[in-house]
Amino acid sequence: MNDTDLLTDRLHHLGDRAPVPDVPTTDDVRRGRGRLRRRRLAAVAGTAAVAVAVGGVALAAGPGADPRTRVDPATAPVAQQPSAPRAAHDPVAQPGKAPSVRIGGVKVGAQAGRATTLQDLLALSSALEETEGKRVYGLLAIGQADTWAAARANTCPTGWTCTPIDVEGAQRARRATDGTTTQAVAQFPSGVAILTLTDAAHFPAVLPYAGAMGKPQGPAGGGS
Amino acid sequence: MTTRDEAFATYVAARRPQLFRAAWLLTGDPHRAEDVVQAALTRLYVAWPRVQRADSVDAYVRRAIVNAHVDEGRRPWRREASVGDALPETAVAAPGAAVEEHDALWSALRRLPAGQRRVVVLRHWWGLSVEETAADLNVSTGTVKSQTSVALATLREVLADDLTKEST
Repeated sequence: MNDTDLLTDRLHHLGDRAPVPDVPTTDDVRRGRGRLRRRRLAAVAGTAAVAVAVGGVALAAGPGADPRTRVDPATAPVAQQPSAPRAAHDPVAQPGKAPSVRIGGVKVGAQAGRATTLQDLLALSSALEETEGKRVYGLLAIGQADTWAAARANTCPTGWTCTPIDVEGAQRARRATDGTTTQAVAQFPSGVAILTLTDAAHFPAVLPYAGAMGKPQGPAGGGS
Repeated sequence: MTTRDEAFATYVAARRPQLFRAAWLLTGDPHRAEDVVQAALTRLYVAWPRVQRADSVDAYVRRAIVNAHVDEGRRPWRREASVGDALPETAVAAPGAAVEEHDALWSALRRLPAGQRRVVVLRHWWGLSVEETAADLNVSTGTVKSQTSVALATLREVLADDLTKEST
């Protein structure tokens, strides 16, 4: 036996004598969750700033969608409405014009005892980041539905790839993508939350979850 | 418990003792070793879906242990820590080996600079190649070879005694 083999042998004997503590694995899981939660909070703080700059768009119930899907306003599919804010129309990109901020919205206040919480959105966006990576999207929309069926989460339209995903705190969750647009839906105790992200200039007229995009919101302060 | 939690907990239950042993050899102190293991496993939990998909959990956690040891050594209160102030707490020797010879190796290992100790543990306890060790430590293969050589020269005195005992 040469000295390197001997060192290997002696190190393993020495390692075997380590006073290995009896630590419950639940402690490691708890610490990991805590760090993940802090990381998500930091990520969402950054995402929120981006979302305000891009302009939010409310999800609407498309034709045939469950009427209990709450939207504000929920009138018609996006194809019959003015287009969503685009980079080309963004005053920020036009010299000499003062930048404005567009904020869209969806009613998520407690109705029938349900409300999407920031914690739900944190978990859903974090799960999407794990599948999509740290990508930058052109448009982002947040939606909510009362039930899994109302969100059309049981279906998967032709041309879309739908897979289950793991979302912390959610009873079930799915992701759908056509390569350009990605949706994630998750059922939380507080309700069903939907995130929609796309690289395209517009959201598709038909979406797997919630059916279709709602009317874009006007600029903050009135007028559209 | 989510699928992620269950898979992570299963992995931790199986590998935590081994990770602790590596950290103990690196730090020379059970409390600091536990800190290193906790830091590494916390990082692993956050990265779990990605590293599990890439089938590189063991490699990731090994690097996390090494990085946590590097970070831990950078803390100001650690810089003032004296060397050789914490001998193994257990007095149970491996079968067929005397306590004294383990203590001699333990003391010699603790006298090594942290960088050399990392090289020794990665190469001789974890069984990595020069290239794998260089990748884990983010250094060149030449650095690994030179640090291994210097560390072995230091440890050779202890090992020489063992070799002498073996040959007689």
